[in-house]
Amino acid sequence: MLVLRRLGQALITLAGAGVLVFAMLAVTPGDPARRVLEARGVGEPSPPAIAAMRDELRLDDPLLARFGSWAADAARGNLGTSWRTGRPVSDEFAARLPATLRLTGAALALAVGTALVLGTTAALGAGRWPDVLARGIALAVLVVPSFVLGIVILDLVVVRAGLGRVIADGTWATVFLPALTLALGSVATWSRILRTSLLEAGSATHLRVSAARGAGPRRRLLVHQLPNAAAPFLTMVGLGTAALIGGAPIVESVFTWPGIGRYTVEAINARDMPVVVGFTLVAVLTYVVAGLIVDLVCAAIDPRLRS
Amino acid sequence: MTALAIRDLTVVYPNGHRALESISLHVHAGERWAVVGRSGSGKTTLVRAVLGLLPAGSTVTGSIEVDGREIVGRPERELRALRGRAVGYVPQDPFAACDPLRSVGHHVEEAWRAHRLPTPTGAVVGGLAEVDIADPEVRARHHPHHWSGGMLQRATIVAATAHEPPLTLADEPTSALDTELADDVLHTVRRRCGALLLISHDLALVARHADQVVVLADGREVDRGRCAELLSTPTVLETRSLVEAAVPPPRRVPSAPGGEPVAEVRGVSRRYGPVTAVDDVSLTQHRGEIVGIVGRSGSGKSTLARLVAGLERPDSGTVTLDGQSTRRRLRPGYVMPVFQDPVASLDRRWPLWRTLAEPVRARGAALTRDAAARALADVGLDPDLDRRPGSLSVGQAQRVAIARALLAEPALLVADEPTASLDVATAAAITDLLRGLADRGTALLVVSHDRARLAGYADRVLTMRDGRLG
Amino acid sequence: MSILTRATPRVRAVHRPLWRALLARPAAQVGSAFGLALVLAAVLGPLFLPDPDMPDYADQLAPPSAAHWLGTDQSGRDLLARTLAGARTSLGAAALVMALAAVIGLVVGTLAGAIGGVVDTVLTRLTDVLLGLPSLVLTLAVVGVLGPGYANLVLAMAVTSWAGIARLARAVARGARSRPDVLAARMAGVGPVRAVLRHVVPGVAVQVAVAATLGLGEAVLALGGLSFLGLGAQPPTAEWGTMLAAGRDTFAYAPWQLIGPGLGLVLAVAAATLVGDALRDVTEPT
Repeated sequence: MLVLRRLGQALITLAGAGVLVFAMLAVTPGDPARRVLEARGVGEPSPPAIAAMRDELRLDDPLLARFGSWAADAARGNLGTSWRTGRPVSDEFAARLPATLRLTGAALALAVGTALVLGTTAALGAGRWPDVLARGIALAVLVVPSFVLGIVILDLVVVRAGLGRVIADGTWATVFLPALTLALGSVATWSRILRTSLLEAGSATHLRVSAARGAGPRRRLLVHQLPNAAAPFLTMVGLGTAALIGGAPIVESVFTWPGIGRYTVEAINARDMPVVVGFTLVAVLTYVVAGLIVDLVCAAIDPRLRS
Repeated sequence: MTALAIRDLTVVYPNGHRALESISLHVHAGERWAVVGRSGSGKTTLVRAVLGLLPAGSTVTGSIEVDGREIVGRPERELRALRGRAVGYVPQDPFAACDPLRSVGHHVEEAWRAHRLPTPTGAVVGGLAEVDIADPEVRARHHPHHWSGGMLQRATIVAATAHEPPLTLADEPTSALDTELADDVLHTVRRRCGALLLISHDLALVARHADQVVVLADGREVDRGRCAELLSTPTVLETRSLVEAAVPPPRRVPSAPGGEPVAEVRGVSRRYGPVTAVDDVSLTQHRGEIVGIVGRSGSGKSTLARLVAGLERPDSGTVTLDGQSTRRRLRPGYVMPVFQDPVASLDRRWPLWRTLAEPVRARGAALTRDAAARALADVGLDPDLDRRPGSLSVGQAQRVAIARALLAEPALLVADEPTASLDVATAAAITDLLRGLADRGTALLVVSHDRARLAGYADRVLTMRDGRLG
Repeated sequence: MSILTRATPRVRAVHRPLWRALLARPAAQVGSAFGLALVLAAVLGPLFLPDPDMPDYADQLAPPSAAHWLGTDQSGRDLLARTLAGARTSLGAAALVMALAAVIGLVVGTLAGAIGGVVDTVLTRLTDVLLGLPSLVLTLAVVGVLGPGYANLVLAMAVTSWAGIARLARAVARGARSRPDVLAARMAGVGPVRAVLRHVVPGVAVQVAVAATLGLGEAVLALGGLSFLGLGAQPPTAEWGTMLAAGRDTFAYAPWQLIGPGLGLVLAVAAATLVGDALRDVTEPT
C-alpha cells in the first residue's frame, strides 16, 4: 500500500541522514571528553578523568558500535551531551523547542494564507491588473532578504513606533512579527506555483464539459478547478517547509527568539557538535514528517497517485 | 418540432477571425445530421455557438434556436439552464472530459448537480446499465483512469443525455478511440438521443450513422445533401477531395518477389519480465519488398521492429542482416529508422543540412550542399537547407527524416507507424514516397495499426497477435 | 569548400537566437541591467573609491555626505567602497558555489544515468537522501564540522546543493540513449558517446544554466544570511552579511549602514531571479 511505501522511503531518508550526521560528529576535531569535563567546571582534567569520561561517552568503541549506540540513543530521544555546557542536549532542546515550533507553525500558516490570496488573485485575474499587482508583490517580497526585513521591521515598528514588544519571549503573544518575516521568503514561490496550477487546471477540458452540462463558474472553481490545483501547491508547501526550518535560525537570531535555531547558531560558533547534530536530526525529522503528510494528503485528493 | 434552427449565423472571434459565415441549418426531431470539413472549417465553432460557449468578445449575428428557444443574446444564467437539458454534449476525448480526481459516477451525476437538482435514485447505475456497462454499481465508484476509453465514452453519453434533451451535439465522439469501438459508441448515441448533430472528419462513420450531411470549408457551407448520395457521388470539389482522401486505397497487386534477402529473422523471442512481447517469430525480407506488420497496441509489433533494426537483442533466435548475425561487422547505415513522431526524430536545434550531413559524416565522407539539396528534392521538399525542424509541418518533418535515412544508403528501412501522426492527404503522399523507394530497391519493414492503408502499398501484410506472427 | 565540410559550428551559433529571445523580455532586461550594474560597480569601484579596509578613526559612523556617499562604519571605513568590495566577495562566492554544485551534480547525474546498474542505484540513493534533507540545515551542520569561515561556508553550500542538478542530469542521461534522433544517429554509424554528446548535452547545458542562475540568487541570500550569523566571513572582511550584522547593532542611531549591503543583496537576488525566470520561460520545451 502507498502508506507503507512512503513510510519506508521516509525511514530510509532518516537512516541516511543519521549516517551522514553521525559521520560529521565523528570527524569533528577536538577531544569531546576534555571539552565536556572543562564545561562541567573541571579546569585541568587529569588523564584518568579524561579516560573515565571517554569511557562514559563510549569514544573508544569501534565506529560501527558507536553508530549503533548513538542511533539507538537518538531514537529514544537521547541526543548526547553538549560539549559546551556538559548537560544533555535533549534538556537544552526541551526548553527551547516549543518556541521554535510556535514560530515555524505561525510562519507556515501565514505563508500558506498569503500565498493562497496572492495566487488565487493572480490566477483569477490573469493578464489584468490584479495579476500584475499580485505577482509584483510576490517578487518584491522574494528579493528582500528576511533578515534585512527583520532588522528594519524590528527597528521601525517596534522600537520607533512602539508597537509590539522588543523582548521576544517565545510565546504566541509576540510571534507575529518574526513569523511574518520567516514566512515572506516562501510566499513568492508558493503563490507563483498556485497561480500556475490554477491556470493549468482552469484550461482543462473537463471544465468546458462541466460548463456544457450547465455548471456555473462557482461550481467549476470549487468542485473542479481548486482540487485539481491543490496537489502541486501542497507538494510545494511540503518542500518549502525546508526553507522555513532552515530560515528559523536566522530569524530567531534577528528577533532574539529563544528557540533551538538561535541556540544552534551559538553552538556552531562554540564548535559544540552534539547540539548541531541534534538540531539537524530534529529538523530532518520534521521535514520528513511534513513531506509524508503532504504526500498522503495529495494521494487522498488525487486517486491517480494511489496506484 | 424543430430541435435546432440556425438562421444566417455568423461568428467572428475577438481576434477578428471570421469562423462562421451565414450558416443555416434545421434539424427536426429524430433526424440525424452530420457536419463535416477539414480542421479549421468551423465545425468546433458551430458546437460552441449552439452551446453559447464562445469566448468572451466574440461577435455573433443571426439566430440559433434550440427547441424553440433563442440562444444568441440570451443572458448567461438562462443559457446555463438550457445546457444539458435542452442540448446535450458528447465531447471528443472521454479521458480529458472527466475530472480525474472524481469517480465516473460523479461525472454522470454532474448532469443533475450542475443544475442543483437531486439525482434520481438509481439513475446513474441504471443509465450505465443501459449502455451495457457490466457491474455498474461497482464501476461507478472507480475513477476514469481505471476505465477503458470505449466504456468511458459510453458513460459520458449517459451524462450527456441524462435529461433526454431534444438535441444532442456529438463533437468528434470517436476520434480519440480505437476504430473498432467507433460504431459501438455511435450506436449508443443514436439510441439515447432525440435529434443528433454529429461533427466528424471520418466520412465512413458519417455515411454509416447520419442521414443528412453539411460540408463546411473556411466557415462557409459548400455542400449539403443526403449522406448516401453525397458521399458516393460527390459533385462539389471540397466534398470530392474529402471523399477521395477517406476511401481506403485499392489493395496492391503484389509484384514478383525480387532480390536476395536483406534480413532474415529466425525464431526470435523477447521477454520483458513476465511479459512475452515477441514469441518465436520468423520472417525473411527481400530487396525492394515492403512488408507490413499489423496488430493492436501491445501485440509486440514495435518490439519486433526494434529487434529487426538491431536496437535490441533477442533473448533467443537470430537476426541476420546482410549475411551477418552480429552487429559488429555490419556496415553502419545498413538499417535506418523512420519513427512515428517525425519532429522528435530530428534534432530541434540543428538546421536541416546538419541533420542530413550526419549519416554521411559518420561514414567518413562529406556532404556537399548540392547533394543535400538533391536529397531534399528527392523527397519532395524545397531545398531550404538552413531551416530548423520547428518551422516544418509534421509531414515535411517526416520527409526530412526519410531523406536523412536515405543518405545512409540503407538496404532496409524499418518504419514504426510512419503515417500515424499525419492527416489523410499527407499520409497518402508519404506512402507514395515509400513505395517509390521500394521500387528503386530499398527494402521496407513497416509496422502499423492501419491495415487498410498498409494494404494499399505493402507487398505482404502479416498480422501480429500476442507476440506471434500469423 | 562546402560549408558542410566545415567543423561543427560553435555552441554560440546555435544559441544566438536564445540570447535574443531572452533579452526581448522586459523582466530579463531589468534583471540583466541590475546584474550588469552590480558587476561593473564591483569591478570598477576600486579605481575611484578609497580603500574599503582602511580605518579612519576621525570619521566614525558619519552619515552619508558628499565625501562618503553611503557614510562610514564604526571604524570610519567608507561604506560605498565596502559595499562594492562586499559585492566582489558575495557574488564571487555565490558563483563559485553554483559552479561547484553544477560540476558535481553533472558528473554524478550523468554517470548514474549513462552507466546504470549498481552505480546508478547507489548514486540515486545518495541523491535522494540529500534531496530529502533541508539544505540550509545541512549547510549549518557541515559548517559545524569545518568551523566558521568563508571558505568553509562556500564548501558547505556547494556540497549540499548539487543534488537537484544531479537529478536533472540523470533524467536527461537516461532518456538520451533511446531518443529518436540519437537512435537515428547510432544506426547511421555515429558512436554512442558521440551521439549523446552532440544531441543531448547542449540541451542539458541550457537546463543546468537555468537551475544555476536561479540557484545563484538563493546562494547569495544564504551566504549573506549565514555570514550575518557570524558563520561565514569574519571581520574585517567586507561582506554584505557581516556588514548587516554590524549595522544591526547601531541601527538606532546609524541606520545608513544597512543601505549599501541591503540594497546590494536585493539587487543581486532580483537580477538572478528575473534573469533565471526569463531563461526558464524561454527554454521551456514547447
